[in-house]
Amino acid sequence: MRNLMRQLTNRLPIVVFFLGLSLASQPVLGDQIEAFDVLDVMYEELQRSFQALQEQDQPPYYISYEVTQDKTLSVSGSYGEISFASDTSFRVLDIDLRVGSYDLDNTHFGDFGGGSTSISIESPRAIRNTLWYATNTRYRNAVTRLSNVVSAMQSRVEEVDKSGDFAPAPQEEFRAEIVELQADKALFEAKVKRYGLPFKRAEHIISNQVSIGGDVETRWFVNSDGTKVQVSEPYYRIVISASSKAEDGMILPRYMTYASSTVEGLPEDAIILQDIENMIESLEQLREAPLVDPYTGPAILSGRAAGVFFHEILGHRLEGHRQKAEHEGQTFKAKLGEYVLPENFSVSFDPNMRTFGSTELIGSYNYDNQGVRGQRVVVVEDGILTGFLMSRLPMKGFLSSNGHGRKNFGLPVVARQSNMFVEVEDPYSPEELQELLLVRVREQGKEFGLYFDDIQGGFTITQRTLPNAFTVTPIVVYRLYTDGHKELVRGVNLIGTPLTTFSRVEAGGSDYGIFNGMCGAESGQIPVSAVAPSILVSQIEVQKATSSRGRPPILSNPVENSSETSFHLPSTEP
Amino acid sequence: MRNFRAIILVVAALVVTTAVPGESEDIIIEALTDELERSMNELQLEDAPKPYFIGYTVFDNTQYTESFFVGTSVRDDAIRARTLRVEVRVGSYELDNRNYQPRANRSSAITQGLPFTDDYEELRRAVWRATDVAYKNAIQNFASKNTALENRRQEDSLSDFSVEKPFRYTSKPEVDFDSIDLRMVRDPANELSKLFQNAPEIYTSVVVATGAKRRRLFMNSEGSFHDIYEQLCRIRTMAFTQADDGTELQDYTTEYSTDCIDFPPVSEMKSRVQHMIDRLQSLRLASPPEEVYNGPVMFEGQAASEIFRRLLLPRLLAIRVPMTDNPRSDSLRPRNPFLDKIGARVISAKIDVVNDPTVATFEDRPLLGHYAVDRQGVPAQRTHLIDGGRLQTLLSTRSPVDDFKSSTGSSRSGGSAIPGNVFLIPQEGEGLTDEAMQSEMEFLMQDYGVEYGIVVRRLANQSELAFGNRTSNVLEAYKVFPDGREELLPVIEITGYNDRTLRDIVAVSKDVGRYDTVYGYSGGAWVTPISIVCPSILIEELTVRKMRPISPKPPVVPHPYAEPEALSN
Repeated sequence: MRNLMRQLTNRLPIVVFFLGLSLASQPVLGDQIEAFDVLDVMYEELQRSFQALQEQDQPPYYISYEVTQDKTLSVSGSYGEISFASDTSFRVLDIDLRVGSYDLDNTHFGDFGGGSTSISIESPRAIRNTLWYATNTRYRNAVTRLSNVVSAMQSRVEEVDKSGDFAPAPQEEFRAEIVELQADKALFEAKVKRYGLPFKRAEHIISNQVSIGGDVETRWFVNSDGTKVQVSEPYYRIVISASSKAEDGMILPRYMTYASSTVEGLPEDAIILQDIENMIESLEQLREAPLVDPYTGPAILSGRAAGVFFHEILGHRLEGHRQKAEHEGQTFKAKLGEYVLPENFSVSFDPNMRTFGSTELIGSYNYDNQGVRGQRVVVVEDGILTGFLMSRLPMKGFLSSNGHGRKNFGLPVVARQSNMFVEVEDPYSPEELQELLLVRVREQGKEFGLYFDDIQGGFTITQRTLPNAFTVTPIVVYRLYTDGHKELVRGVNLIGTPLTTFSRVEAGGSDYGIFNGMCGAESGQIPVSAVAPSILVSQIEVQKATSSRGRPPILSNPVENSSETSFHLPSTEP
Repeated sequence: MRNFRAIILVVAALVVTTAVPGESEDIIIEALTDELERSMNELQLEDAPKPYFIGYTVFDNTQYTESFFVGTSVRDDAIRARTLRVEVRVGSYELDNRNYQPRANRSSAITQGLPFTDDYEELRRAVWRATDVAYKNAIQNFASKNTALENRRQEDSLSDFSVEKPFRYTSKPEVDFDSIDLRMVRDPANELSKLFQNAPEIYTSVVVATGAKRRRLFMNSEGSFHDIYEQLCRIRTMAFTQADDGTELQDYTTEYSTDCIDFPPVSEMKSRVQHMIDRLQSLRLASPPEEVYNGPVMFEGQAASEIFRRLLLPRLLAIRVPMTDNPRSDSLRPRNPFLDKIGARVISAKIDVVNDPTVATFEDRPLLGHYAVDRQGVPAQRTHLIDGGRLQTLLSTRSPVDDFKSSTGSSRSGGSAIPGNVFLIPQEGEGLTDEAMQSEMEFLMQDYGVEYGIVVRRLANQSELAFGNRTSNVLEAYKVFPDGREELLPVIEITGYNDRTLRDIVAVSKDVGRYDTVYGYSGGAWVTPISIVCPSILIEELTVRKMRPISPKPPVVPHPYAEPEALSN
């Protein structure tokens, strides 16, 4: 099962940081005092091992080293109080070592990796020593693995896709500025307190959490093709969650996230506090909202909801390796060159786009985890399927990477999404789209249509062994009645199968929404973005969401709610 | 090593004065007290029983960890978390909702985060929420446990919770607890790490420094209370290499301190690490014995303690296994054989075993298994477990097991009984001098017709091995010849020993040594530290042979710093 668009992670901290130019490392604790270039040391050791191993019976034809440094600070709490804080930094090494050939190598039945190895980058000695021993271990495993692959191939029928196991890629050299994480813990603690206090005054809130986190991921990548890449990507995120409980016991969650590559890029306190007030109010309204019965009929998905919808239903099925693996459903493989969406719809992925409007897109990057520059890929043009997202694993008709080989450290690379853009020519205005919805409602003899305003996330199944289906989990859903009034409802999930649902996408609006979130799949959690207009689907299906029946607290709240609590609020403004 | 009996009497006398009852009032205590009182008086659902017991424990943990490799930092983490554990019991001491594992994942002892700030209102709110959840789980578990009991034959009426006298205890730190800088643990660790810069024969290594401090605040509805401040710091050095034939070799040293300052001198710690490096380098070149050895084996120092930790300590614990909804699976679960051996001889008659967490120091250094009161609020106590080799009792908590119906104050982690300081004491007149131990060994060598005896000085605690477990757990062993000559043994394994082996101890030394280690899994933030003080022991016969692990070949490419041209870096 392919996991999902998960909007939230807890304990994500906020931090103040500054940008600094640092192409070289200064040893901190070691005896060496001269500056050195991490990439050069890595490359030198790579060449030494690569050349020495050429004398073996089964020499490697490719080696890459990727060192990932992660520095994070996180603070979280509830009701205006801190209950967790952490400050972490670590460096790990991943090795991709291939024996055999581009056509058939040890990764043929999957790169089972070998996990990460801790590594220090503070001295050449530490770097080289770790690279040396880890390379040895990976080499032994790779030779064994290739032997197993060759044996297994002899007992199998010829494969349909003979595109090979690895695609050549151009040599690259790129050194980004290394971003430093400067941890102003006091500032983040003040913000966690400030954002949590409004929940104190809301009797109906049964739980809440405010997490502020900063994370700078710096990667040094070298390979035996001569590529040397140094990238450094900061993320600052605020995650605010709260839940209430309806009289019937249903737990009602709401989430909000804000992300930026700089602290300054995060919204001001006043905006976030207003969003929190809106969240508290909407949760109160949700408690009173009626439950929805299973329904089929027309619906509008807001831009944010449509972004998740396209990410789950289309995006995951355009990841190249899923067209090749025999256990995958390969939903869109045979649709290349055919209409999959209305002809005024186009879809592309572009990791080079850093912003949309004034909003930063967290699915941006310069280079992927295989040292390939991130490229714009048009996957649907004028409604016709035109391409796939590719790592260096080739597939029939697509023999090179377009810079979408992504992963978390310790996991094997696969093709993953970056920033998705869904564009519509001749869009409807929001009012026109709503009017069109009501036309479809009347045509289908329905009492109302649905409007999905906000979603939590979703998940999809792309493999053959289970039904090829998706679920999107909305948080805020309205019924739109033919007389024009709307009604908030609760307790539904949007479900369906991809091809049928896509064939019913009818129109797009001119109002775009942006979803920044974490996407989980076999290569780990990665940041992604989706930009999409609101869309009209002529027929969708919803099912009842899971629910608890737990009672509200037995004893009353021992603390009388009071607005006076805000008087000793620490200011977080500069 | 020093004479045991003289020392134990001295330190026991010192400890009596450490427990000073009384507690200071602060916001967190006030909030817990008020919510405890309200919940005991008012918390009840219609047609459901009221709680007869509520216990609160607050853990305020701060931990710093940093790893080093050849004098450089690899990873560092600093974490602070304050948590509240709420335990609610409904029913009665005889039959309640605990000691039961329902199918649903529903615990009546729950843990949740607590605000750092001592804000009365927020603490009350958090405690209220957690108590509510724990109570609801408790009444559901109580109902389903009663249903499960109705469907099975009742064999006994073992109580669920022992009645213990309320105990109040407060310890205040001698220094400002908040100002303690745990990062002080990093410098000595880095110094140890630098020793590997000149040891390219050691393929990889890591030195992990951990500093942790914690306040533990406990109160229950019976009137027990304790408020404790404690620290534990550790520097663990782990190294790995391979012999020319591929045999994997690893070793470690661990240094503990109860205040992050009082580690042994750096020079002393470096000496131990250097000794380990030298030993590993020697082992790479040593030829393994082709012959199988059957004869006497002496376990000295840490090795003797580790034998007892592994073979004896788990048997000395009376642990209540919770019932489930499935009587058949319950009946298949293993039973500690020592539950049925009270009065029987379980180890050599030459040895007494005492668990005594009230002893604070040994040989002028703090003992890790020292504590004043356990996690259930029961005071620590001296427990004479084995007398002249015969089992007297087991360590227990407030969950009765068979005849062990009251607590020995041994609930240390996760609700289980765990030892504190374990003293293995030679019976009066049984402890031998080093020379006499050697004579005993030589006598057995002649008897078994072997040219040499074997002395084991270090055995691995498997939970402390960092680089997999394909290596032998015998870290340091020697052939000892009649003329006193010693010869380092390469990687060997000792087979044929089990808990019955402890009855075959033919000699014990007069002098004892201490061993600081952890009980159980050690990967978490807080381990359960214990100390073992024990004599060397001589086992009449064990089998020792060459270790035959399946090891990968050594690296193809030479070490980067084994090549002269690379040294310029």
